[in-house]
Amino acid sequence: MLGKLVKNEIKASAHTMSFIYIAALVTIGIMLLAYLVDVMWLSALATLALMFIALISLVVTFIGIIVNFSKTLYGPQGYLSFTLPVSSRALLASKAIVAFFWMIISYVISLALLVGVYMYATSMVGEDNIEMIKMLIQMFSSLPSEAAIRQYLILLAFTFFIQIAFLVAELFFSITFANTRILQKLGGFAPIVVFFVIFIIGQVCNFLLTSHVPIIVSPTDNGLTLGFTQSMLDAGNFSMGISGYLFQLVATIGLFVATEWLMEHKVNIK
Amino acid sequence: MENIISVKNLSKSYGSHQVLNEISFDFAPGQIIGLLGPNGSGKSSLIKILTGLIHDYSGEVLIDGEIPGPSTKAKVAYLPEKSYLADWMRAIDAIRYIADFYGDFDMDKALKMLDVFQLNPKQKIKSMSKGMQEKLQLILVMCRNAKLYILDEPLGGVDPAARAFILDTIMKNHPEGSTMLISTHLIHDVESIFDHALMIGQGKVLKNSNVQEIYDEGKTLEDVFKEVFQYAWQIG
Repeated sequence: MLGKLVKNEIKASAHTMSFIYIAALVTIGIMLLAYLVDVMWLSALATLALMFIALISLVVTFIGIIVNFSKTLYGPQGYLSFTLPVSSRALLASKAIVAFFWMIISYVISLALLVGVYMYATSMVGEDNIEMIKMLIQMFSSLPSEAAIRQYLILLAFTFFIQIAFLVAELFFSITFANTRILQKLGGFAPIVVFFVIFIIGQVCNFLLTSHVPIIVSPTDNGLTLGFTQSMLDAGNFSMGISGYLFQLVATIGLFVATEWLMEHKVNIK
Repeated sequence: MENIISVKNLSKSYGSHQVLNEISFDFAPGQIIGLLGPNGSGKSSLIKILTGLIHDYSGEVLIDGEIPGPSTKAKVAYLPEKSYLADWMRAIDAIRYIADFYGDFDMDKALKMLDVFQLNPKQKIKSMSKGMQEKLQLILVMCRNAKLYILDEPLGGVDPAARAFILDTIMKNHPEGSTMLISTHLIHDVESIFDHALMIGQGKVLKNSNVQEIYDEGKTLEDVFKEVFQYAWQIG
């Protein structure tokens, strides 16, 4: 059933999300066309539009996830969602998987557009992009081994995924908690208030743990190693404190469990 | 034979407002039951509990011997009072969606009914009138071969001319041996189809009786409804 839920969830959310990617594709097309026919003003305009799309795509994705989750579970569509022969866990998991998927796509597209625009703009003023890429590679080559580079990149991706999952969990919990009878009286403000309270608590815990609980991952000849040194300086270059990320991972699981419990026991569909 | 619906000492309150107070009843399968009561009598809350939409109640509720959950939801075809389909869907998308999740959904029958109801499969929900949306939702429910059909005010937003057509659709399309629980306050239009009447008000079961017994007393269901609820408001 989870597969069917995910399939239908993608179908439903694609209607909200896809237009921003279509807009990006059309703008890229205009930009390339302007470049080919050498129309400077059109090329400049398309470049600005792409930068705008790169930034706005994250906002649109964020809003799309919130609206889709609220409408399909706690609006009239909830009568359909909550009477499907599936568990609340499966329902929540499908929404989390699809939200995570859209967030990743949006971040990747946004980053790719910004890098693309930057490289296009710098090449227009005569700077060498190849040199810049070489510098980046050189920076990573200072890591002690190939295994360390590989593992370090995996760790970076993993921390990025944890942050997105944490954000999705915070959003889903806030919206669900706001739809319990006790908070419904606050109306549309309830999810915003709950989100900011959780967000601030999350940030404070993250900061305190990162600064006071020294769990450090450092690259060595044998790949990444775990250390418990007191100072990031002692740990050396490219060392990364992971206690904050570990907290986010645990908090994400906790928030999803709490959301599922609220869906199962306390939610009041209007 | 196991009861299709079994409710024992069921209570539900919203804050200090008690909508259901220690109610109990059982229904054997194969009947058409009228769930009757004025607005605010607790009909919708009872239906939400039976369909697994509300879980925070006290007492025992069993659907075909099971506590409401994913397994009972597969056996229950539910028509809510509200329009619950997504705007972006077309009629055919809604049919495919239901067919995806319910193994008992009859796709061929649904396509034929779309034709009978003169609904375009490619028409978007957002461009449909309220009446068209209600017809589509009725198709989605009545094309299932469910054990229990729960219809919440199926005639509520429909003009008197269309009521007979909708009732006819309901009667012709529910499988033999299945049970129907129909909530309504329009008793005059539907009383002829009921085998059993459950009247609730003030959080209590005020009448739970076989419709034939009521007729044998020389009364109509509407007469009894008026008697029961006049009394209920007096004691309130």
